[in-house]
Amino acid sequence: MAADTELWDRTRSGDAEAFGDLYEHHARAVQSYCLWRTADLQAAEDATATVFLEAWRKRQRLTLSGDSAAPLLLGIANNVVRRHWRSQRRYRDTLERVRNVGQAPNDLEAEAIARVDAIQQLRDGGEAIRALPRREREVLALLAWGDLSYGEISEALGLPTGTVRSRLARARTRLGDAFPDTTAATRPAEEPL
Amino acid sequence: MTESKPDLSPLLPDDATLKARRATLVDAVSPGGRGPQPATGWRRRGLRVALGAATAIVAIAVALIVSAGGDNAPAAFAVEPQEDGGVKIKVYSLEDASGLEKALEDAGIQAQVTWLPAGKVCREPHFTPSRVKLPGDGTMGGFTMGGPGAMTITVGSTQTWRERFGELMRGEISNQDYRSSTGNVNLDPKALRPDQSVVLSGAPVPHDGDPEGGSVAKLGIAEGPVGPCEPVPAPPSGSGSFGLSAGGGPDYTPVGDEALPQTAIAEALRQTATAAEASDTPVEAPPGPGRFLYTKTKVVQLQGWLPKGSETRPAGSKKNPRYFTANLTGSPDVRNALVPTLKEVWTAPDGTTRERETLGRVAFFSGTDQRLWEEAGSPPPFAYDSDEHDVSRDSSGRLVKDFAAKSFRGRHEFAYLSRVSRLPTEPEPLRLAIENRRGGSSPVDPSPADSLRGGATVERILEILSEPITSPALRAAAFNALAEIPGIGFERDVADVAGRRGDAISWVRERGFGRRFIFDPHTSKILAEAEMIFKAKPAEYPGVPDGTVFRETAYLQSGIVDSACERSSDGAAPRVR
Repeated sequence: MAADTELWDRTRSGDAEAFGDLYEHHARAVQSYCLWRTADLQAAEDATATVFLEAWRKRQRLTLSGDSAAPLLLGIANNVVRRHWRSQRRYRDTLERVRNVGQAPNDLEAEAIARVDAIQQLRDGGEAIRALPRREREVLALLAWGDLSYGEISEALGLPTGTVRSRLARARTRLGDAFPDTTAATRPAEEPL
Repeated sequence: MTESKPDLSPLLPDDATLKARRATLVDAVSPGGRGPQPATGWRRRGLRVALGAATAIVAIAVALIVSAGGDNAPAAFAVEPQEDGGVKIKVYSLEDASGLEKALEDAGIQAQVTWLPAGKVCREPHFTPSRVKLPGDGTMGGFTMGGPGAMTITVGSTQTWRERFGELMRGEISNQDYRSSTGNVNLDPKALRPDQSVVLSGAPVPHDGDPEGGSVAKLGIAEGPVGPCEPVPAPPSGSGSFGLSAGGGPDYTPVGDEALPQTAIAEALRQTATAAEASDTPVEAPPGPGRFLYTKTKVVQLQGWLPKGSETRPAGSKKNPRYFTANLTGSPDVRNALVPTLKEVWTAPDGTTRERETLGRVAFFSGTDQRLWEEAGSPPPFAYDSDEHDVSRDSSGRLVKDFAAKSFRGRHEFAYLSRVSRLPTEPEPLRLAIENRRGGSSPVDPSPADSLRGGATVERILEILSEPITSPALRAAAFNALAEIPGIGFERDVADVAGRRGDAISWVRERGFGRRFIFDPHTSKILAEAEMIFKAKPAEYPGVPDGTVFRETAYLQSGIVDSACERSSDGAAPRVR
């Protein structure tokens, strides 16, 4: 598929199929992020669809500053999760349609159990991080679950990179061992802490 | 960190689901009028996808042909028994409505079927609309479908359809097998309550050069008795007579004063356009560096309070279960209240904002609830929870949040405003620009307000009119463009949440949510926009009467100021009830 920059340009000119390609590129990343923030499958699925519908609605006003649409989409996701009732009202009917697509039959027991397990792990695993103040929580979530770089997080949240770094540092201090800094080892960190 | 991440893959969509959702989204955002209908079979609009899960099972060979008239007349429809005891009914022509009613009744479905001449629809409402549960979690209240060829109605069990759907999802049958066995309408007698019935009506429409080569049909779910269908002329929009014209279902129903004829509504809108033109309101340019756009609004939001707190503690806040928020619905314990907030925003040209929100008096719908809440110490709504937000009190003791943020539109706020200022100021070009058809490749389309495109156009025009900076010429063009759109719902003398009165343009969505824009006919200013709840299930919003505001924003003041402390024009201290 084409690069995000080209897909976004075409989306901005009203090309719904290009927008569909962007959805396929990023829907799982957005849903992962929303899952982590909500620990609720249906809320995360609705939020994911809302993120894309919001991106479409505001496409004229939004520009990509890098090569990836992820910061833009996760920035919207952050807003949607924070006040999801507000933006989702607009899309009620579409959300219902999206939710019903590809819905697996309820009786696939093994899958259902796997889903319940994953939700439980999310709830258990995220407790310490969810206890953080909102601003630190958001930055940390985008790093850990959005897989964004510092520069991309600052773009997604509309914050200076320095602020992103200081919030992360504060979050790490609070969390101590609960959140070891393995970032540098697992990804080419552009700005080591 | 990696080891602390649980495996989310069971919670993420698989490839097939991703593709299907992509298609639904693309469908949802695509502009209407994407060219003619494909000439293969019927297409269902609106809830097409939701119903996709309810497939028919494979037909078996025997077909009972029910004759429509004399021995030599071709059958209007055929009934094929199915393996699960249900039936599949293929409708070949819009004749013998009573025979089809009988066939549906034999299969366990109470139905009223009306086939109409071309250009006619049933006068609505002639029954009380209701909804049925679908396989999965959705509900369905009806839809419009159309196209050439036969329409199929299957009657059977949800269980069978669900198994069939599972086969498709596991790749055991092809998409084509699945589709070929799908009825346009799939009905499970067990899903209907005894007081519910199906209302089906249809009429021929032009297709492929043949004036009656296609047809459209509308399906509704009724609760209680169904009145007779009184044929009335369809709105003037070709196949849009059933709301089918613009790629969407009938999810936009104008509401208003039924005694007002369309000509009177158009005249009222044109008069407002004249008032706009005559106004000498100076047009302020978007602010430059060092200046701010100031807006003051009063927002009233329906919120739910759980006296005992929330048991299923939502994520996102460990210490503070969100037990007083806007999304607490569906619980029998929830007490509903209207929560007013005065909201002031100063936006700088770089998109940074200062926002000040003051909480007004929380009003429950019953005195009992109000006392219960006060006895509990009047806990504030979650948005003013001091554990989660920086909240202080003003000199009158009201809770205030004063914070720096980023405009919802980011640094594009003013780019957007200047784009609004460049919109055409003639009604027809404005409408074409709004519908993204400036190129003029499509002919002028007189979609009525109750078609999806017409509805979207009405909504978009009203949103532009709600912008803080618009020229008199643009406002006049906008009202004149509205006057040309047939089927607008119009209400006279409506009050907004700030107590001001004006006229309103209103409509209801299928899901029971309505929207209303109140404007001052003498100045053309939008006073307020509201979302309202209609025909809510009592379980969803206990104690909330029909027409209650879900959220209303009253636009009190806007202007360009020199600092983020200053208020525009009258400079009066903010007041909130």
